[in-house]
Amino acid sequence: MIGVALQGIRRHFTTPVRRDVLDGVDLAIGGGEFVALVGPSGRGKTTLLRILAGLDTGHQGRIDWPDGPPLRRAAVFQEPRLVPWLSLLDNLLLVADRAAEPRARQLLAAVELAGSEAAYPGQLSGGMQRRAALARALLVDPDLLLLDEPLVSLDHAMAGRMRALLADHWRRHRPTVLLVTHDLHEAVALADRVVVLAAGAGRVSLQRRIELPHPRDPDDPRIDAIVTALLRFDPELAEPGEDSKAMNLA
Amino acid sequence: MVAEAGPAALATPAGRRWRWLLSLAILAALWQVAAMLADSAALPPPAAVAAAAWQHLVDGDLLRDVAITLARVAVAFAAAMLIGSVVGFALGRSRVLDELFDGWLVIALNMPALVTIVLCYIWFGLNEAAAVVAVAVNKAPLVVAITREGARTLDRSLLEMAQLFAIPRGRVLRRIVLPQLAPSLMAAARSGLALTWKIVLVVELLGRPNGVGFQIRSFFNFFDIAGILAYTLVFIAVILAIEACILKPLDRAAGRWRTP
Repeated sequence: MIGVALQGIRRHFTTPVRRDVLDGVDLAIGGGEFVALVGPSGRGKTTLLRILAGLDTGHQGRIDWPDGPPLRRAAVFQEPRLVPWLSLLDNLLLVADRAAEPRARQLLAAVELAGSEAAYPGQLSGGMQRRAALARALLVDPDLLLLDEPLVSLDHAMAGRMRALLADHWRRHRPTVLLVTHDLHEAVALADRVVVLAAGAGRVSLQRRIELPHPRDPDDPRIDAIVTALLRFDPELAEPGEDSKAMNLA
Repeated sequence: MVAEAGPAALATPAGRRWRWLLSLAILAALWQVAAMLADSAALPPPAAVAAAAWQHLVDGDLLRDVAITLARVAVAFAAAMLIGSVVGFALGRSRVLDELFDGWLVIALNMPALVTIVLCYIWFGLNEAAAVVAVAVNKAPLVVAITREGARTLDRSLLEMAQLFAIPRGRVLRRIVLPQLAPSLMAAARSGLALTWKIVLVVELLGRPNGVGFQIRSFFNFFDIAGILAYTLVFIAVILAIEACILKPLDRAAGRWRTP
């Protein structure tokens, strides 16, 4: 299992004006741990995820992989990032080999896309593309799984089922997960630990371990209690209207 | 394609073809009228040109010369496309290379074809290799320029996705990069084909003992206008056939995923 320790991670962007997005982030993630990074947009969540993904080259600070770097990374990006000229099935097989075809079909069925294997991404709704991207990430059986708002634009019921699929995959395969989300309820329902990036400071302002046992019932009132406590700590964590907006998109 | 439906869409392709034929017929009619008015050997009427084409076809020299010229076009075209697209891709993906060689490319793009041809014949001798090199060198810069534009605009988000999932390089090239370059490569191929055969004729005229360009020079010496026009029209027809039978279907196959 792959753990990672981030130390003093700094990142600034210079266009259009200098902006320090991350200003000394320290964060350790244990092997097989499920960590949710929460906070409203503009606090550097995605930047931190891109650094872990190895896609950002402009940062400073130390990244240690005590058990060696991950062999199989996977991600669900904010956009689906499917290849438009490949069918859904070929999109999945792009990240695996031909032998993975039965498993790819299984996963497409698991994200409720059975029958759309031959469709091109442009023929599908945004929500369907997003689910295909989730299936692609799970196909490689990653040891590091990075999820950037993977379930926005799915309707409430569908998001719930995909959350259950994700939780189930994590319980059985134990990848190390970093989930970036603005949805506190989702974070608490899935993660072992919720990490809050402070507003404006570019640092971790709160880490809270979620002691509820897995598998969790999303309607568990204890989840709501934790969400309320987190909101008391940082009221900006509530982004009014986000949920209804997500439903309208789907 | 089944993408369009409705009476208007059904009428369009056939109607367009008729209008195209009609415009060709008008051109031929104008030519006929001009020839009658001029009444000179310098402008033979369409029928005389057709007769000349038939005669050269029966004699066998037309087919032989067209075949020889086509072979030169094919080799030079393939070499220019291959070298031009590789270099263009490299320049489009590397800022350092682009800055180093941009000036070279500008010079190459503005080099007159005639100069390249003459220099190649002087340096490499009046032989087949010099002829083909001269044509390829003329055409390659254009391929470089077009492919470079295509390579510059590759979708970064897909390349990042490929990097994150550690997709093998060959597969990234085949399934992510080349399909994005396909429109540029097709544009380079189509503009290049017309350019190539025009330059091949000049190369043949200046230093080859056969081919369409050589024949046009002999016709010129004998003031055989009908022969010149016959050869030209046949060769244009061949090039249009290649365009319609090879390049267009390729283009359509590359864009198939866009049809919903």
